Amino acid sequence: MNAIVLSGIWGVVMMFAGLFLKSSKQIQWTALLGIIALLVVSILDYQAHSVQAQTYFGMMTIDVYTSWFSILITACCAMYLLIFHKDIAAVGKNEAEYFALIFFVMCGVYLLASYSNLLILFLGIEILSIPQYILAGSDKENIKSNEASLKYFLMGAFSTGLLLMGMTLIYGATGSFDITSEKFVGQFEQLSSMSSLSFVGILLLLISFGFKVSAAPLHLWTPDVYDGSPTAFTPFMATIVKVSVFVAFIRLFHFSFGNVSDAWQIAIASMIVLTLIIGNVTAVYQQSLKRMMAYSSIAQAGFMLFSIFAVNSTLAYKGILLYSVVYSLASIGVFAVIIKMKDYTYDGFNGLAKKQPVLAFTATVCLLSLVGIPLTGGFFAKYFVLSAVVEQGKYIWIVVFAVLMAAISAYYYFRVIRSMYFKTGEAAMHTEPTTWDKTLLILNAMIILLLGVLPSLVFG
Amino acid sequence: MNGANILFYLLAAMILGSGLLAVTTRQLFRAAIYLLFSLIGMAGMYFWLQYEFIAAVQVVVYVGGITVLIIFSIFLTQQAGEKMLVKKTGQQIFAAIAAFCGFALVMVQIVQNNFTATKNLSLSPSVTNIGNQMLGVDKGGYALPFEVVSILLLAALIGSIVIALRTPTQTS
Amino acid sequence: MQKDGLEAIIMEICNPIIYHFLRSLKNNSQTITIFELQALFLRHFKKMPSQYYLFLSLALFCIGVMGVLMRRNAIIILMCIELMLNAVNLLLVTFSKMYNDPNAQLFVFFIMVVAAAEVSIGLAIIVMMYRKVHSIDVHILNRLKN
Repeated sequence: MNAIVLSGIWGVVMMFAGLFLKSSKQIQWTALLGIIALLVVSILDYQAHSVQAQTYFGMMTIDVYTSWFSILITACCAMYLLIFHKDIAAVGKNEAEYFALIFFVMCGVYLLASYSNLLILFLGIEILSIPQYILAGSDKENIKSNEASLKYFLMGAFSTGLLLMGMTLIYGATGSFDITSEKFVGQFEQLSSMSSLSFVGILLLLISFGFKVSAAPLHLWTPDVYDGSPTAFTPFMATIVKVSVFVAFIRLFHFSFGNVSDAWQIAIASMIVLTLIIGNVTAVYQQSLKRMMAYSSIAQAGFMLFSIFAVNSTLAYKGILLYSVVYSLASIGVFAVIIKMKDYTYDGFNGLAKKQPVLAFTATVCLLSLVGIPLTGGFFAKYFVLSAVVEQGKYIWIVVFAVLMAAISAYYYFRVIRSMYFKTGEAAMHTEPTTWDKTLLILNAMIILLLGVLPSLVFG
Repeated sequence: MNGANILFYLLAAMILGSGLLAVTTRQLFRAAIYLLFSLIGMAGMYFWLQYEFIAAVQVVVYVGGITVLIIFSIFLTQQAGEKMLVKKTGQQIFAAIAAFCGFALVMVQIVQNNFTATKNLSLSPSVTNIGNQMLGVDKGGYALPFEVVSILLLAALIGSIVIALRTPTQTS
Repeated sequence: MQKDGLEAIIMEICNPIIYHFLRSLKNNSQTITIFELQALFLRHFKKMPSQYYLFLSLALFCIGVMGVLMRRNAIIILMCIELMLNAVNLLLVTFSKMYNDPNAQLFVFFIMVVAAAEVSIGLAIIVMMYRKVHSIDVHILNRLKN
């Protein structure tokens, strides 16, 4: 709870920092101070809630899982801000406002992790989305950034409409917004007691969820938005925001709709198949690394969908925790290298290993983790979500299919590594990395490697 | 057929008719005006359902705020009488069919669904009750979402300013 | 309770609004209490089954969805989304009436606030876009793709 309050307050502090602090350096330090404070507060929250869950106003339930997830996601966000704070400030002249919006998004993330009322789910998703429309369009001189912003906004607002309709229909069937209340739980106790109205409601929620996490066939906005947004904000949208939407909907689908999983599992299964095919196959044909990462984030969302699919499995929640951390860190690591380059195409990376061995090494570790090579965190992340599906025992063929698709994904990830190590070229840099940058990137890569050996570190 | 039914049908016809016109007309400004009528009809429906405060808020926020905002931005971006391009007929038919199928699906579910009557005491939707509940801090109070929505508004405010502000290079 | 002739006729023929108005005229009337009014209203509500309201709001929602899928102009799409949100509001109010539950009614206020915030953001984005491209046709975006 304190983390929610602090993130809201720190957003306001950042707003005033833009007014009173003249130098951009000071604003960046204020933001870093804020995220560190947020990390400390969420750790304190975790200690406070580790004994028993606490309910606030009948709207939120903070238990040991949600507060642990808050710590992990805050740590990822801290890593993101530490690596990218200079680039965020370089996007435009409203840097204080960008940091403020990021803190407001964090507020939404905490709400989504711990809601127990559909109203808070709705507000959390809105707080998550509205700053993102702005961040996507923050490079106002660039027409692609404008396009990204408009496209993201129209899609996001439309999916909000569907989300609200879904919630209302479920309310109409149950008579309550509180997902812990008797009426709500009773409605979803078993398939026969569920009315068809709430089935339509769940379907609409699923569609809206697919929009938010860019699952096919609702992914069409993703490549343009991720490609058009300033490179400093793309990793934030692709990792922290996406992951928290996943955690929010796992909470709803596993704990509320878990008993009626027969009604919606087939929809998720078809989503997974489509997402994996479209994400992986289209990524192969991309020439720009940034656009490739956009498609790769669609493909990775396909893997994360497995954790929602594998209902009644103890591994699913562990899987999504590990997956979210590893995927976030790896994507942040890759984008941290991309943003340093002048040319985002594969050819622009030719010969990077000779020129900047540290960048090439960290990018390689991150890419290997995205493929899921053993000894990197990505291997165990994929292992846990897939074995969760095996554990729940239905639709095993999807696992085989997913492994096949992971093999396809190796092609386009390895292509980057080949450009960096085995091709000769200029690898023109946009900005030279400082020692501080390199230290952080190595730290990031080390964490990924460490999670590849000891995945139990993120289970709390 | 008594007076109550007639009023309902009139309001419903106003809402649906002007809503349909708003999404199909080819003149942008007219679409905004049709939207205005649809929203006013909605306010009338709330009055008829005896939710006076919601009706008043509907008039203030939607009719007085949002529609005016939309009309402003129409003037900022377009000449008022200009006709808009439309999508291909195939796409239009597809959209209509998709919307109709969704509608039919949900309607069938609703007709089949038997709503269980609750034994709640009827609570009058007066402003006092709304205010008490909106700021209540006990279970069932809405103080937390109230604060959250204020953060959301602040974010939207900052965002609109950041987006709409002209940068110096644009003016030069 | 016996009502005089005119009142009974108004009650039968007209709707609660006029009756409401009538009540406000006779300020300190003892004959009509708020509970009677509510009972009267509920009778009318039963006469008009709630299915009709659900039908109305779902039809409006589908008009909105159809508009979003059909139109190319960004402002029109925004207006269609507003229609969708309005349909949700009406549905919530109907359920609130049906269940006598004030929670749904409060939800409506939050939707209104969020809708207002969303519209302001959206129009800011559209105006920014227009400054750059001089068009708010969504299809022009696809042509810009590399």
